[in-house]
Amino acid sequence: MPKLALVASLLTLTGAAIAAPQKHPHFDDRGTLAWHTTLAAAKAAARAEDKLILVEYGREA
Amino acid sequence: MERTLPAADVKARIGALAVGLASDCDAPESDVSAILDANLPGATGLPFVAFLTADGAWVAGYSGSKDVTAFVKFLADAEASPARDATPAVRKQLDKVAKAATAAAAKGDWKPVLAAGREAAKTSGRCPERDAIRAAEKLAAEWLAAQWNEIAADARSGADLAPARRRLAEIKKHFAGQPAAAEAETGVKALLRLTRIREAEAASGPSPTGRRRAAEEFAGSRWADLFATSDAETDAK
Repeated sequence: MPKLALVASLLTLTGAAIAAPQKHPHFDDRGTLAWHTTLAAAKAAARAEDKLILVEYGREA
Repeated sequence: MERTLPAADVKARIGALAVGLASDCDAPESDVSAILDANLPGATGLPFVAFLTADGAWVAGYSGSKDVTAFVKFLADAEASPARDATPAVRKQLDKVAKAATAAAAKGDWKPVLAAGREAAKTSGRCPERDAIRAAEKLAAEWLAAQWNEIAADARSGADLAPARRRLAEIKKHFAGQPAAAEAETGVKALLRLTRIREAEAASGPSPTGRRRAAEEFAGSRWADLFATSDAETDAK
């Protein structure tokens, strides 16, 4: 089973709800990362996917 | 970051390592500011970049810009960081449920597996116990996917729907209280509707209108496709 499909299946199994990620609000990273805009949403996604959180703290150029 | 993140050496690795948090320095969350202030004291050059654990604990960070080579080193350090590992307390917390999940999965008993997954979701950090729970959850997800596929195949082939109803009952039993059980309950209604359509068609011939209406009734669910003309009926035409 592809990894994304598996993650989706596991979330379906547990009924977990995570805010949908989006593009970075200030620049185009060409699809490198799924970006959240609140720490709570990033924590939930990181926990669900066993990942770290990459914080990018800046402003639009 | 705009040029660094899409670089081939970075993109291939960072997506597997992290999710992103875009924090606007002109309207930051206080929690984010506090973490950065504590770990990058006196930093002024934007952007501030950091890896945190899923619990918000500091892993590594810097302020200012880095070229791709320097960022790859930063990435490698984060990948190897012991901060990514579960604490002994988390491992102890998950040990018992991981063993229960593994044993239950071997018997096709999915309730303890789901319970273990919920317990694991309350914690973070890599450990063999979490890997065991993930493996058991994967088996549960595969079993569930197989049930959905078999039910759809029975409906499409025009076969007797009794086995499909039994599969739905099994799903409801194993996944009680979960989204899959609600989907199965809807499936029970869809199979009942399909049975009635089949009975009407056996008496009066094809009923494309009845099938279309039923598909509309179950639109947005996995069950809408059940009302397409079955393979057996298509072959008979």
